[in-house]
Amino acid sequence: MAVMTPHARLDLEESLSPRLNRLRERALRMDDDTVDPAERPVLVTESWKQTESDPFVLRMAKALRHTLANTSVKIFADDLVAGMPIRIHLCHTNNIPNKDWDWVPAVSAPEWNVNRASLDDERVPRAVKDALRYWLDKPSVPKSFRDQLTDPQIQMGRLGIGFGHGTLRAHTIPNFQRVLEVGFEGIQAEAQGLLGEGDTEGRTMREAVIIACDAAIVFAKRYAGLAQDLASQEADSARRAELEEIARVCEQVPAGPARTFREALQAIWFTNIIQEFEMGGSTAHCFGRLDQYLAPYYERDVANGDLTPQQALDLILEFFTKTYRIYDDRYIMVGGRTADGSDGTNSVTFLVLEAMLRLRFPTPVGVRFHSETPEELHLLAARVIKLGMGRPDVWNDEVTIPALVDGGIPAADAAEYSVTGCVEICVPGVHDARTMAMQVNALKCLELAIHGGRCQITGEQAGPVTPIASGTAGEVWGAFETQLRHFIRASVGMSNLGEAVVAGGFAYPLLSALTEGCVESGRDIAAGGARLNTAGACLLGLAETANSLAAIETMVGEDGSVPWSRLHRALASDFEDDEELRLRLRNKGPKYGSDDPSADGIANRIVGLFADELSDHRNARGGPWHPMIFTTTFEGQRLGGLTAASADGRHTGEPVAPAVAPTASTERKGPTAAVRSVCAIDYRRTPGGVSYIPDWHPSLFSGEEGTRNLAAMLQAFVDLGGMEMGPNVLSIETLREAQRDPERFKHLTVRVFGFTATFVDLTREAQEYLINKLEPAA
Amino acid sequence: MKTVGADGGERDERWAGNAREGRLGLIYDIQRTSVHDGPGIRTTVFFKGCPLHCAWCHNPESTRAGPDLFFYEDRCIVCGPCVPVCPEDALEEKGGRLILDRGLCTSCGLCADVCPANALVRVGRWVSVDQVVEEMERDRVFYGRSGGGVTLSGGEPMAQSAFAGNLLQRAKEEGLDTAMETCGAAAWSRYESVLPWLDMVIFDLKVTDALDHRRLTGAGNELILANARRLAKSGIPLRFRTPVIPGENDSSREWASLAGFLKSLDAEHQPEFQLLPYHPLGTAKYDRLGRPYEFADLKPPTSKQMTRYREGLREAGVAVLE
Repeated sequence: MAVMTPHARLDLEESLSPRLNRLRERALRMDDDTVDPAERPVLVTESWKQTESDPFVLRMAKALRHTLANTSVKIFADDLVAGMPIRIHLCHTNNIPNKDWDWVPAVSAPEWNVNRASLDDERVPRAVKDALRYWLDKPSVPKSFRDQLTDPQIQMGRLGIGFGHGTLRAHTIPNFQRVLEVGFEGIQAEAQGLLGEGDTEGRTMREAVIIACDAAIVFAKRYAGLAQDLASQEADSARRAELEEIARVCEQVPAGPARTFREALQAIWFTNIIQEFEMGGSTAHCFGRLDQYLAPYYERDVANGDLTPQQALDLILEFFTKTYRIYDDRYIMVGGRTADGSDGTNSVTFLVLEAMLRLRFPTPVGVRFHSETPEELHLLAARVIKLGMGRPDVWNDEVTIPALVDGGIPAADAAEYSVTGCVEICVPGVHDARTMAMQVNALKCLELAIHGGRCQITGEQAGPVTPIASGTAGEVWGAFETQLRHFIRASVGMSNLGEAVVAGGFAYPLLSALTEGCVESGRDIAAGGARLNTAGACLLGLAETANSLAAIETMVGEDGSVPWSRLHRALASDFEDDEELRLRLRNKGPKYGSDDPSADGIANRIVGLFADELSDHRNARGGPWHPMIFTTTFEGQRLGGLTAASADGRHTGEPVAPAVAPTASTERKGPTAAVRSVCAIDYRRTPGGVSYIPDWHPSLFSGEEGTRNLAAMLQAFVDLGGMEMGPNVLSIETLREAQRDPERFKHLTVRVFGFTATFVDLTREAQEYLINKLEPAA
Repeated sequence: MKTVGADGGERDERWAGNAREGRLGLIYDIQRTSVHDGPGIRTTVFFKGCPLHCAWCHNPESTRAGPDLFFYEDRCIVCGPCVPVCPEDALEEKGGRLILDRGLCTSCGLCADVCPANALVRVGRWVSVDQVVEEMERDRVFYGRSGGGVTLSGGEPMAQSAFAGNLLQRAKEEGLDTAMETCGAAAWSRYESVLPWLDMVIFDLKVTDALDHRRLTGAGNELILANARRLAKSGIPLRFRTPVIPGENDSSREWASLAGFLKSLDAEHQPEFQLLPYHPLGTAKYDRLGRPYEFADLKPPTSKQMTRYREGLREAGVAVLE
C-alpha cells in the first residue's frame, strides 16, 4: 500500500520488495562476504617484495593497485549496486569478531598486525605464513613510537591520567563530491598537471596519487567486465538487462564523473571499499553528507523522468544492505545548513530516514538540525529513534558551526561539517581531524589534586605536588587546575610525538588523492598535507568531576558539615569506614544532570579550563587543538577502573559516565532536566565533538503523540544550545539489564498516567508489568 | 505568636494567612517530563490531600492533607544519625535494623533531613506560588515545542483551591498552557474560581453507582456527578477518565450506567473519554508509608478486557480514546 510520508513530495511503498527482503536477509546472514582473507597478506607482500627500491609512499600505492587488480570480485543475485560487502573479513584485525582470522594484515601497515602466533597456527594457509615471515624483521611503527616515549609519558598512560598517540586511524571523510564531479581520472589528471612542481617529495607523492587513482579505476572496471561476462551467460532477459546496466555503470564510475543518481551511489560505494583496502587500524571511513551529494542527481533524474522516488529509495536500501555489519562506524550525515546558510534538507534527507524505517538496521546515520529545519524532519527522525536502535543521533548546526569557526575553520568549510566514527566532527574532503589524538581523565586529575599528586591506586607520585590545607573551594580548584593543565600539556607532547612518527612511517596516497590540499602541496595526509589540520583532545570524567567539586564546595566549604580531614581520609580508604559520608556525597547536594545551575556551572567551568589550556598549544601539523568531550562506554569503564574513590560518592574502580552524560545514579529530575543540564555546557568550546546518549523509557514516547513529544525534545535540544544527542529509547533487553544492574539505570524515569517512578525503584512485579506492556510493540 | 508545625517548620500568623490566601500550598512533588497529564510535555504539580480515599490509589502518599514520611528500608544502612533527632523517639536501632514506630511518628521529617541514604524521605512540603512557578518555567522550551504546559494534580488541587487558583493565574499570565486533574469532589464555587485560568480539565469518574462509590472511595458521588455536569456545560475542554478496577467497577451494569451518564451531559463541546487500566505500580508505596494495601493482589485488566470495554462503550455511543 502506498502511503503519504511526512515529506509530501514522496510517495513510497511502506514495505520492502521481495528483492530487498532477500538482500536484507543476505546481509543479516553475512554469507556474502566472500573475500578470502588469505588473499590480502599474500597480494600485499608480493607487491612489497617487488618494490624494495621504491620510496615508501610509492610502495603503498603500488601495493594498493596490486591488491585491487587481483583480489577476487563477485556480483551476487539481486545486486544492482556492485561491490563486495566487507562484513566480517575486514581489512585489519582489530574489529574482527572471528578470531580465526587474526592474521589478516592491512595493505597500509602489515607490520601493525602480524601476529607471530599465526605462524604456528595450523589453520593459517602456508602461503599466508610465507607472506607473514617477510614482515618479521621489518621496522614497526608502533614499536618505534613506544621506544621514544619517556617514563612520565608511559606512567601517565598506565595510570589512566592521560594519553596521546597522534595517529590517523581512519576517521576521515574523503572528498566524495570530487569523485562524483570529475572521477578518479579527473583527480589523476590534476596530479599529472602538478607532477613537475615542487620538491622530490612532492613529485613522488603525486606519482603515488596517480597510481592509487589507477587502482580505483582498475578495480571498478573489473566489476564492469565481470558484469558483462555474467550478462552474456544470463538466460533471464530481465536479469541480463540489469547486469548490462551494472557493466555500463561500473565502466563509467568512479573513473569518470557520475551522471545519474545510481552512478553517484555506485561511485560512493566503490570509493568506500577501496578506502577500506588502503587503510587499516580502524573502519571509520565515513560517508559525509550523503544527501547533499546525491540530491542534485536525484532532482535531475526525477525531473527527467529517469528515476522515481521509490527507485531512489530502493537504491538507498540496497546500499544500506551492502554497508551492514555488526559494528559499523561509517557515519552518514543528512540535513543541515548549506554553505550559503540556507536549509539543505532535501528529498534524499527524507529517503535516507525512510530507508531506516523500513530496513531497521542500525546504520550510523546522523541528522543535522537548525532553527529552520522543517518540522516533518523532526517527526521522521523521532519515528526512527523510536525503533530503539539509538539512531539517528542529532546535531545542532546553531552551535556546531560557530564552534568550528571559533576553532579556526573557515565559515564555508564549517557549514559542511559532518562526523566520522561516533561523534567526531570532520569537514569532508578537506580535513585531517586526528580525532581523539589525546585524552585527559579529569577525575584522575582531581584525585591527584586531592592527594598531593599521588595516584591512590598504585601509590606512585604521578603529578605535581599540590597541597590542600582546609579544602576550600578555591584551594581545591587551584590544585585541580594545576594537575589538569599539567596533564593536558603532557598529553599534547605525547600526541605530537606520535604525529611525528606517523608522518615518517605512514602514507595514504588514495586518501590523500581525496583530501584537498595534499596533491596541491605535494604532501601526504599523514605528513600534514590536508588543507585543514586539527587534532582532537578528549576530556573524560566530566560528570563525576563536576559532582565531586560541587560536593566539596557545598559540604566542606559552604556549610562546613564535612571537615576536609574526614573527606580526605574517606577518599584515601575508599569509604571503608564511612559509608554514611559516601551516601551523603552521592545523595545530597547539587548534581550535574538535575538542572541545578551551580553544579552545571562547575561542569561548564571544567570544560572552559580544558579548552583554555588547549588553546595555548598547536598540533604537530601546525593546526589548532579541538577540544572534545567523548568517552566510549568501554573507555569509561576502563578509566573508572583506574581511578580511585571520588568526592561524588563514587567507589574506587566504578566506571565514569560516558562523555557529557550525567552520572546515572545522580540524575534526579527526569529527562528534560538532564537535557537542560547537558545543554548548559558551552559547546562553542568543543569543536571536536561531544556525545550525549540519554536513556529514555519507551513509555515517554508511545503512540503518535509520543512521536510528537520526542520530536519536541529534539527541537528543544537545539533551542537550548546542545551539540549532539543520540537518544536511546530503551528496548526490553535494556530494561532486563536495568533489573540486573540497578545502579547504572537509576536515572530511568517511567511514566504511566498520573504516575511517575524510577524504574529501578519499582517492585519486581511492577517492573515486569511495565516490560510486559512493551512486549506487543516489540 | 510562633508555633511549630507538624513538619517542624515555624508557623506564625503571617504563615497562616499565606496558607489561607493560597500564597502557600502543600504539595508532595513537581514532576517534569510528564506526558500523560494533558497534551505534550508537561510539568505536573502534585497537591497533597484528597477528599477521596480510593482503595486502589496508586499515589497513596497524596491522600493525607499533611506531611507523610516514606521509609525505604532497603536503602537504610542503619548508620544512626536519624535516631537522636527524632523528637518523638519513634526511631530505634534493633537487631541490625532501623525500626520506625508509625504510632509515634508525626512525619515531621527531621530524620529525613539527616538521612544520607534517602531511606527516610519527606513527603509533602509547603511551597510558595513563586517557587512553583519558577520550577514550571524551567521546561518552557519543551512545552512550546510539544504543545505542553503545566498540570495540577494530586491529591486534589481543589482541596487547596486558593493556591491552585493563584498558581493557574500566574501560569496563564506567563503564557503557559494549563490543565488540572480532579476527582470532582469539591464545592462548585471552587471550580468556578479557577476556570478562568484553565485550558483543560481532566476529570476522574470512578464509579457512577453511588453505593459502590462510597464503598470504594469512602465518599458519595452526588457532588462529583453534579460537578461533571456543570463542567461539561461550562464549555471548558474536558476529558473524563475512568480507571478500570477489575471486579470493582467493570460490571456491564456499571458500563451501561456510565454510558448513560456521559450521553446525558449537556455539553457545548463533546468531552473526551478515556479508560485507564488499573496498574500495580503504586503497591510498594503502601509499604513505604507503613500502610496496608487491601488491593495488593489485584491484577490489572488484560488488554483483551480493555478492548472489550472500549468496544462496549463505543457501541453504547461513547467516543472512547485509545
